[in-house]
Amino acid sequence: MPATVKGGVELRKALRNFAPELGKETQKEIASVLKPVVKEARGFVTTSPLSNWAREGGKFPVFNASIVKRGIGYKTTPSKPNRRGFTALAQIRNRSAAGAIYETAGRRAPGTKPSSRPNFAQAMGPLTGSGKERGRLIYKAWENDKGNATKAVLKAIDNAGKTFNRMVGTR
Amino acid sequence: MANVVIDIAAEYTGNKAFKQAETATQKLEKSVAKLGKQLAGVFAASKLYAFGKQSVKAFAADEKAARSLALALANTGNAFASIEVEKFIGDLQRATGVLDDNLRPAFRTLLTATGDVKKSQDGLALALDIAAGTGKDLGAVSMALAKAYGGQTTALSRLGAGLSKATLASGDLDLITGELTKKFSGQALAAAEGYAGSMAKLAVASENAKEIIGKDLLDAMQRIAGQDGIGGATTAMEGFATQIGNVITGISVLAVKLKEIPGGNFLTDFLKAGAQFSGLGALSKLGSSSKARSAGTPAQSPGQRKAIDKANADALKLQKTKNTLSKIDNDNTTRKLTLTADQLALLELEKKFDVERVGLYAALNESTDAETKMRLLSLIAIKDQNEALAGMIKKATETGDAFGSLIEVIRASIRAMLDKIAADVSQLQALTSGGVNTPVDQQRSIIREKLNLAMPDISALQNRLSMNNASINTSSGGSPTYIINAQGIGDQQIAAVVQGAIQDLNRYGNSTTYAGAI
Repeated sequence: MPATVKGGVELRKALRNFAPELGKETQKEIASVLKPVVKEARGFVTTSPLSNWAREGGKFPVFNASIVKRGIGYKTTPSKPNRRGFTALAQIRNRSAAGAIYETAGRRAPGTKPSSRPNFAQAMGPLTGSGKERGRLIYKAWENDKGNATKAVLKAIDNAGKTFNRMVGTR
Repeated sequence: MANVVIDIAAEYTGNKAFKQAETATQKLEKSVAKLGKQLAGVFAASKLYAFGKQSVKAFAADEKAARSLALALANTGNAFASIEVEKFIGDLQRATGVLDDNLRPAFRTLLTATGDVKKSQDGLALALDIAAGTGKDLGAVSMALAKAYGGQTTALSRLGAGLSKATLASGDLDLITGELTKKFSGQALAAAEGYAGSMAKLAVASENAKEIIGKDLLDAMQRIAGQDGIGGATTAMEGFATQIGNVITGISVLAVKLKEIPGGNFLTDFLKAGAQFSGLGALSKLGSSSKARSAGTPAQSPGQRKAIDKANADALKLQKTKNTLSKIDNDNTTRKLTLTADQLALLELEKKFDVERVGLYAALNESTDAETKMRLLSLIAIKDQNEALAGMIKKATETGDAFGSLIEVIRASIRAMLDKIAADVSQLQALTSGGVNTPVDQQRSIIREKLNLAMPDISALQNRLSMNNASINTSSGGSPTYIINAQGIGDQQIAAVVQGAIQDLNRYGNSTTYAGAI
């Protein structure tokens, strides 16, 4: 469960409209925090987790290490609201199909049946993290980061808010 | 697409669906509030409105059914019986306590099946008896009877009328209706008696009252609407209703107060008298006369109505007689036309086998002389009593005469010219024989002078002959032969002229082929 903030989206809108330079600076600051996590996550990508997965053919996504690495990235602008109405101010993403499979294989919701092919997930190695936030690439890197990135992002946003308020002369 | 993400610093911004739901709820609340206000306003007048609506609806349904029945009558060629049928249904309604709303469709069903008013009336009476006896719906019974008229007795067997299979299988409608009549005769009238019947009659009266009020309501609305349309009518009606309501309230208050006074029962008498002499009475009379005017007939007494009915019946009878006479006349004309055509054909045939006529045509074909041909044509015209051909022959004769006169004039002028030339020549002979001593030059000059005098006449004659484009050969001595120089005229032109002439002959009724020729 990500840390929740209030007024973050409004602040980003205000920055974009009234202090674009400050907005860009904030984005750069957030990016600088997220980059090491992404770099670490990319480092977890192996040549091929399974011997046959790199072979072409069939409908199943082929594991290509470079594509999987390219799919791992970050986003420093607010996302669209999810089904529950939450908007993320920043995100770390694993967008390739094979990368997503490698990330989440073997993860199942509590109470659901175990996978019919458990060997597939077991061969890829253990999942790192807890609950829904368990994985082998970005979630592992995020877990290793121990929340430092979150703190840094929140601090960057908070600083930007303070600077903005100072600029406009309120508070 | 795979979407594995880690959200950092999420913020609740609200769901789009929630916003939509919120907006929708707000709208709904507003609508409900508005509807509530409207309902509260309408509820007070709902009873009155409901009655008015029912009345108008009843009238509209009644009128629709009546129109439908009238159309069915017209379509089956019984339009003249429309008044009679309406009267029959009205009487039946009063006698049996069955609404005309049910009677009309039943009658229409039977009329469509039988196409005969009398049969339909009998069928409806029977259907009423069966419906009353079996407890079935009149519509279902009439439909079963209509099908039976069409030869299908299955529906009739399902009515539970107790008809034997043998009777039904016979398909004899007289037998079937006879048995039904025997079993159910008088059921409808019996059902109309007693309490249930009285209630039914009351219901009929109530429905009729509704229809009458509905009609008057619609008429009144149209009258009030006038040029302002229905908007003006509603305003006027609301104002009028308020006034009437106020008056009613005032009367009730007054009545209560008067009852408290000893001997205050005079109010009833007062209201009765008031109804006669007050504005209300006048209004009632005005409404009654207006309705009568709009109906197109003045108020009638029973005697007058009977006389009018009789006059209508007489007029109907007269119209029927007229129709019959005109039909006979038309038939006679058709027969005459057929006879004339037959006579003409017979005459043509007679002509073909007339020996004398055939002989005349044979002679005409063989003759080469124009005069003979003309004579023969004249004889044929006289034989056929053919005025057109006679006229044509007369014209041709006149043309021939005129041409002969022209020839005579030309002959006379040539003769005069030749006489003059002969005189001049004899003068020249006398001059040359008698005058030996006359010098040669003098003789030559005299001859030249004579020739010069004669030349213009010769040239004039030549010109005249060339203008007529004809030369006259008089050398044969007998009848003259005319040679026509048709320079520049080809075969086609000649053929066209001949064809035109033949067509003209045909147009005048003078065929070039003789009678009997193929």
